[in-house]
Amino acid sequence: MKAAVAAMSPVSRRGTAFGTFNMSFGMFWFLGSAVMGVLYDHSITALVVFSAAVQLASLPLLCVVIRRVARQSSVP
Amino acid sequence: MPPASIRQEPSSYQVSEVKSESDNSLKGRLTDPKRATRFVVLLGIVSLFADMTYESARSITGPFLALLGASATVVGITAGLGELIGYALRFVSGRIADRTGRYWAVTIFGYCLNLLAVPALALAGNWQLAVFLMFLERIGKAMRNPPRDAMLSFAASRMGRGWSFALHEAMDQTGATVGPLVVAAVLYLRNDYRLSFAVLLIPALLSLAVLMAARARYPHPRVTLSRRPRTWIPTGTRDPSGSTWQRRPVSQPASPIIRSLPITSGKPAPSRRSGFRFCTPLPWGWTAWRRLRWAVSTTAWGWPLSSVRQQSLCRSRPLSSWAGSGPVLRARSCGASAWGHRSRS
Repeated sequence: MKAAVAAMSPVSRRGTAFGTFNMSFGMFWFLGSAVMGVLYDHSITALVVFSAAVQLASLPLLCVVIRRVARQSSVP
Repeated sequence: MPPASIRQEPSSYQVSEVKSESDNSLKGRLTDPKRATRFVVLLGIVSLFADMTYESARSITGPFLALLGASATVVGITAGLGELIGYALRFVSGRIADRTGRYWAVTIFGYCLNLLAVPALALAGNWQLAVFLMFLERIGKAMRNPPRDAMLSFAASRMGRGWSFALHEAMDQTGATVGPLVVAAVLYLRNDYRLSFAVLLIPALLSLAVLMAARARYPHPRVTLSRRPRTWIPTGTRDPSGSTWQRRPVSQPASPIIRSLPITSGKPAPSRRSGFRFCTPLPWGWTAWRRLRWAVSTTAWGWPLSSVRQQSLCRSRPLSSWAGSGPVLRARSCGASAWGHRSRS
């Protein structure tokens, strides 16, 4: 992950890049934990569906990112 | 550890402060491929001891807080909120480090906060103070992480990103495994939480000491590490232009399996610049003329510049930006590298 972030960011803004990446990671980690806790109290099925759906939702995002990075690196 | 006489950098890039033997150190600085690896290993040792310190503390803070009379809600909120703060602040510290360029200052400040708050837990008399110290520890971790990762990525531009981060992470996780085991042993033998926290002062100080040593050896990681070594490698095969020398490719093309996946553009990214134009599609004689011109300009510019102006070369932007910005600059950078190589043998 860190290596990928480093590859996407210019040298002069590496700190900001890592900071942004980690900050969003932490924020969503917190949000996710809270939502999961609420769902656990509510219904276990909802929790399973939610976690599977969110993980699958990350796949198209990943594809978009990879394509964008590939396009940027092929254009000088 | 490398011998200090070879690897030590001048503390500043002012020409007046350069010692006479700095030829050696400069050559080592620019051409030694192991230099970046050493930097990553040093930071890895720092992380090893740091993880020993705070990961072991985190493994016992829950029961410790309970012992001091905190409720489960307090323990849970401390852990969750601490983690949130520890991540949210990372943007701030990364931004500060980038804007000021003082990666070391931010990193060292963060490590001090991160590591010294842990043994201080041994002195905490009530759970409020303990919670405060745990927040401090998380804030320190938030401060140190982005600039540290940025410095690692500078070294990574030489030794390969995956490899450098993997090496660092492996050492990091080793510490995170050994530390809690040690603390568990202390708790088992003595059954004293305060003693367990106090013992963690040892890895904390070791980590800070190695961090200072790394800072002394690599005072300007962005300048001295974030470049590829200027090595020209014989490829052994002649390319269409008749040159047997090529610039080392910036990145290896991906393997056929990776390229066949529908995730990349299908072809390796072209390098941004054509290097020193050794590979131009010109007749052989023209190439020879270029090479001769290169040799002459190298000699003419390189000798004085390699002794005097190398410090300013060090400060400059990456080599690729020198390469295409005019024959003079090109000759200057060529000269420094060529004379650097010559003075080595």
